Amino acid sequence: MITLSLPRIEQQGFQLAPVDSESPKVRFSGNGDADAVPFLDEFLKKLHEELLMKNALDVRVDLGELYFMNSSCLKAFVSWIHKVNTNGRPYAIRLLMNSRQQWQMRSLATLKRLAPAVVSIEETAD
Amino acid sequence: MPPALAHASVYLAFEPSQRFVRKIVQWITDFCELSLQDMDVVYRVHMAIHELAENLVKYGTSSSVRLDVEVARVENGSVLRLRTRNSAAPERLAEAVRILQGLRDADDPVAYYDQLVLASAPQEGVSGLGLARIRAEGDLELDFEVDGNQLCIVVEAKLPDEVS
Repeated sequence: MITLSLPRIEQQGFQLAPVDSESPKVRFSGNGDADAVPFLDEFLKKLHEELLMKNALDVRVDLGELYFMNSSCLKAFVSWIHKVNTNGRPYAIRLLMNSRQQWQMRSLATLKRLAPAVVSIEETAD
Repeated sequence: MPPALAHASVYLAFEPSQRFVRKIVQWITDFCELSLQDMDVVYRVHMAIHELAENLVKYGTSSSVRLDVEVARVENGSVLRLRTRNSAAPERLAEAVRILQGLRDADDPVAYYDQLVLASAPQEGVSGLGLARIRAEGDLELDFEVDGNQLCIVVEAKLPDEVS
């Protein structure tokens, strides 16, 4: 079991937080607009460092309650995924989507096309 | 479900400030929903409004930028048209034109978008994906005009009549 020690970020409009789970899991929820971008950038950098330090094999990112993500938030994911994909693919990234959020299939497909060996898309269990 | 509008238009002129974006996106999305029957189109138009409004705020250099929305009847349906107008710094204008021309001329907008995504990946703090996302993820028509330092971007969604 790997416990993430990332800080929980709760701002007006969005939340970023580790989730208690058997394997590494984080949640990004709310509205991913311009206000969220610097927090998301920093969160993903810290997440990457921690996953490397703890030799994690994968991480799940729960986006089930994320209502929208602008292109700058999408870019934060692009940079993170690219870093993992071009640095030995030390762990896999499992994006948990909610098909009731109409935008997710289109936007998450973009991330999967960027690095199909690293990124997978699954439906949230919740 | 409300019937589609035959014709409607609205425009907003505002100071390019981030504090307006959320409200403007909500107002314009609400207005567009009067004509949209399909939730997938609602999402795609919402995303386009969001990206266009954020672009106006990020890159508009004058004290006022403008966002027009129009719904008009065409044969066998309607068209929803979003139009932004703003002045821009020369280097930003050139960059926007390069991306817009690439998108307009691309045989495969998704492949072009994927190239932009890959090129942006190692760059810090730069997205540049908003306009491409409208065309590729949103599957919406995109066109533009330049007049001096003014950039006008037009996004269109075709809304076929429901066949019952």
